[in-house]
Amino acid sequence: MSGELKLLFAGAMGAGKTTAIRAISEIAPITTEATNGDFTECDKEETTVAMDYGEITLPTGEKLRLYGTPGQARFGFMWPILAAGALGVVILIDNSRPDPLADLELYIDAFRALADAGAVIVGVGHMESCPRPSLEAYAERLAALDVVVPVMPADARRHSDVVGMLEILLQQIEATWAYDEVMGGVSACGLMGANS
Amino acid sequence: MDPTKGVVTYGFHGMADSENVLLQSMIERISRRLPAPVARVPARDAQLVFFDDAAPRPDGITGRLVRVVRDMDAQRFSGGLRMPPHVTDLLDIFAEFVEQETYAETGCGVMKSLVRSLHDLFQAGGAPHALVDGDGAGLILYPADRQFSWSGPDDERLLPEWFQSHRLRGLDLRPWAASTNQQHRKRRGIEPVFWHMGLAHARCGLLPWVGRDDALKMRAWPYLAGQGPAGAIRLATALRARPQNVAALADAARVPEAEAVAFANAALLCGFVVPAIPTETYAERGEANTRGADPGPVDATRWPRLLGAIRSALGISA
Repeated sequence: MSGELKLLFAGAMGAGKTTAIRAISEIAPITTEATNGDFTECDKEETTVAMDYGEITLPTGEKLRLYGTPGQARFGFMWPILAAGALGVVILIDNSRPDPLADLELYIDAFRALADAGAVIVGVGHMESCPRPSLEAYAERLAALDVVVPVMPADARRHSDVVGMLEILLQQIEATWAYDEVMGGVSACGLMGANS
Repeated sequence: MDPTKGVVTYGFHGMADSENVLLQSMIERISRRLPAPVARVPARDAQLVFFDDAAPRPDGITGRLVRVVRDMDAQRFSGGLRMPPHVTDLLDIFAEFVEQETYAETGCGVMKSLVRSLHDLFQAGGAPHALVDGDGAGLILYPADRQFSWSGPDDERLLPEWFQSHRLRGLDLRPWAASTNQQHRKRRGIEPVFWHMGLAHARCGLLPWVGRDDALKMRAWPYLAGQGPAGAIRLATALRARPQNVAALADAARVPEAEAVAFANAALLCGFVVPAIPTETYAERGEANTRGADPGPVDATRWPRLLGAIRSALGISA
């Protein structure tokens, strides 16, 4: 193997990254939480200040590593480091935040290369209590950014929602891989060149 | 042709002789239970062509293709036949064919006209209109805002019913003048209406202004894909990977072409999918292929096994 297999969970503070990793990791997630000193962004008592980590053992014996990125924008310098070589990114958006569409733009911009390669999915949380912006608004904002990635409602606390997002993400990766195969075996760069 | 009065012809392509004989004998055995007489003819002349899923797509065949799938665990799906053959599958395939052909004779004119009228109305952003059925129930359409509301009680569950054949002939599209008590009805985006209209139109083929060979390109993620057809997510991910026509899309997503047509119609009407300019077909993806210098952790040849392993670990069936 030439590198680690990893999936990222990105999103603003409180969007559910740690919860999503907990939903599917076979080990108790290793978190680096600290008392939240930034109540302007989120009123959580504790938040992830570096990253979360979980893992899943594949039938091949390899480990699929799950990383949760720190949510605060000031840690944005870490996002491309984590994204390098990632299989894909699950971007979690909290619809109860003041400007979820701005959050979307921030994270799409950060993971643009993976988005263009079809290795990003967007899950929107708290849609039942905060139905606006609608999925239509998300799809249109993404189209305006010239990005086409799946966007769906998702509750990170539900195992089935998290797995459902990963299922679609894998389908996208597979579809892109199949296409790149036809086009001459350039898939490795197409799917994995995660450096932005 | 009215298949209820004529003969439904069928043929085989790319299958073993023994399978052809088996299928033909089964079809003859159940012929009395079929809605129309049947006759085997060469595949090129047949209205229904059973073809091997693993064989190259047949050329020069104009009939409806029925994929033969050799998977004991495969679920019954529209347009496909599991091998070894199930009598119920064969009955369904012929019954669906006759129903669709009959519908094409009687209902497609109305459907195509309605789709064209609504499409043009919304393209022009015209004045509000009402789409009213024979019972007086209706949708109020606001083309300038790309919205609709119900004229009666809101009920999203009724939308799939709106464009079914038994209601089509009674539907009337007419200008609408707002009455005071209807001005405050809850409006919503028109996309769910268009989505279900597109799905219903699949029985009449692709939308009138789209050609079978036209490459389609995804512009925005079809967030209504959960409302059907069954393979919509697979179709969306396949189309997101590259612009392609409906036949290639069905192949890439491994779904019957009828499902690809339904998806394409719905997504085109909603604006999620647009016709691709020919030069876009390969150029756009070329950009993605060459971006980034990091080759990533996986050799390209390992992809199928790796994705399978991840799915297995997550409990996802491919």
